[in-house]
Amino acid sequence: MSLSLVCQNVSLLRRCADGSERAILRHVDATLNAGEGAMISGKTGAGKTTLLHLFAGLLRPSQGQITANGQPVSRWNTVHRDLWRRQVGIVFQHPHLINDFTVFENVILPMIPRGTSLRQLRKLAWDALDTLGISHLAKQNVLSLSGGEQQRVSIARAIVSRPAILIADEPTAHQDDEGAALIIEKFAGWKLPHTIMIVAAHDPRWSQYGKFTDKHFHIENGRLRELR
Amino acid sequence: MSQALSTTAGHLLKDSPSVVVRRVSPLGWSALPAEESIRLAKSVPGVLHAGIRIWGTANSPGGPVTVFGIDGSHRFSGLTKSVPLPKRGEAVLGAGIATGEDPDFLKLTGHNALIFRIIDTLKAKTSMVAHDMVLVHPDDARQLLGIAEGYASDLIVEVFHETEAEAILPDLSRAFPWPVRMTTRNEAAGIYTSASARRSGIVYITIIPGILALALIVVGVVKGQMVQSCNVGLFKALGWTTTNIFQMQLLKALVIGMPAVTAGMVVSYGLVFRSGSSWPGYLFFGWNDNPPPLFLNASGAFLVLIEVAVLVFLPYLAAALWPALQAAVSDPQDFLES
Repeated sequence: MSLSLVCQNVSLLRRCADGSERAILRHVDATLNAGEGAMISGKTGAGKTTLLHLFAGLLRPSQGQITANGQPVSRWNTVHRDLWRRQVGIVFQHPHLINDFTVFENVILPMIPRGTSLRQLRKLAWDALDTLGISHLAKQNVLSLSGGEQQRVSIARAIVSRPAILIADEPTAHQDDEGAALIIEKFAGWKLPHTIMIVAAHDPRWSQYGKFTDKHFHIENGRLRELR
Repeated sequence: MSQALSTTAGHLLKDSPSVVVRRVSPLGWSALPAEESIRLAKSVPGVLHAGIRIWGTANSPGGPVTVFGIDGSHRFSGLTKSVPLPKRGEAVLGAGIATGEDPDFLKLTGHNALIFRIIDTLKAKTSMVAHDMVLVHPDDARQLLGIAEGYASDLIVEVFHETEAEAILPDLSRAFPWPVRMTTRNEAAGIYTSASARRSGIVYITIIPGILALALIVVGVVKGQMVQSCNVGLFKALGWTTTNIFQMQLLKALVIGMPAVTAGMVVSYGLVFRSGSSWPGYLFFGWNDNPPPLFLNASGAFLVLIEVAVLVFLPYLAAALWPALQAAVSDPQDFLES
């Protein structure tokens, strides 16, 4: 059975400082299937990041549900969601690296609790670093890296476990043209028949450089619509 | 340390007589007639055995000492079983007796002055009750202390069961035609215990800064962990389960906490139970020389371990594990936003 990720009538409410509730997402419906690359565009504050976090299982919707292969993962308890999240690789808008760690140590973080052998773990980490062209930075502390390099480390960390679902939030935001082209090309290359890829970006280079996008969603005022 | 003191006192006093009877006089105490006292004591129902002791204080080159006259009939097995009984002119010394210039002889001055050849020293573990004790032949003790033949310093009484000691005190008191003062074994042990408790109270005052320091450490750990709670959210987002995070935090806490607790325990043990550590005795109890070695009681030590765990280790662990406990009930997003 091929993987599918479905948003069914999802809304998310947030309580404001004055006690009132504000809808971040309203009645979102979306279906993503294995082998697809989905692009979510929209202005800053439109709700792109929130939607990605819902897909990644970092948040629970206030209304509606998210299913994976028909299973309501958004309703699962913490223990099951923790384990399900291992199928997801996520690139945050901010790199969220551990400052005390080296690049290599940051990249292997998702693999540590999975019981991977040390040899396999090292191989996966070096593969991820090579893919992003940052092997030479492996032993450096992440604080010494530029914003673009930190973003690549964050991407390497997301792909190291070869996830079935790869979610990226503005992964080219801090990249120059050359770096953006490399990342977009890589994302297009990572599309496999059994994977789902979701990228939120308002960077026009995504449509300029690659053949990543199979589905394009636009989000505005918390409402999602599919463009093609 | 206070626990070790009372354990040691109890251990040493278990060989002491059930009741000690002293004849009191307006000047303090006076010798009692040996044969008559024994006969009168044995006339009291419940008394199994009665005997006399000859002891008192004398001056040595290092200061006042307690002189005890012993022979085969005396029951100080706990003290004397490892040393030979002194003959006339011989002495066995407690661990704290300074001999003066000649280490083989000791001059004692009381009612008379006598010089003794030192034949042995009492075991260090008896120091708590025999630190300043000199064991001599009973005849030498009489001569030194000025106690006439047929008289004794006090009377010791044994009863069948310890609880009977308190019960026979009124009868025992009435049996003697002179005023007496009686001390039971429990009272003797209580003197040590209450003294130890008083000292413990003083020691706790010194512990208060330590408790405050601990509280600051715990607050510091909690604040540090709150700063790192963002990392907890990140770990969960990267596929770590609450159990994984809990194990990691526990390991981190133990890596720091266990060596600290172990080192503290070893140092405490060394200071209390190993000889040569004179400063705690000087600091807390005013002792001027090395404190006597103390007995380690397994159950008492276990209680101390539990106290340390409750007061120090558990708060530290709880503080260190707080983010993991929070993670168990929260979404990763909550941490990433914190």
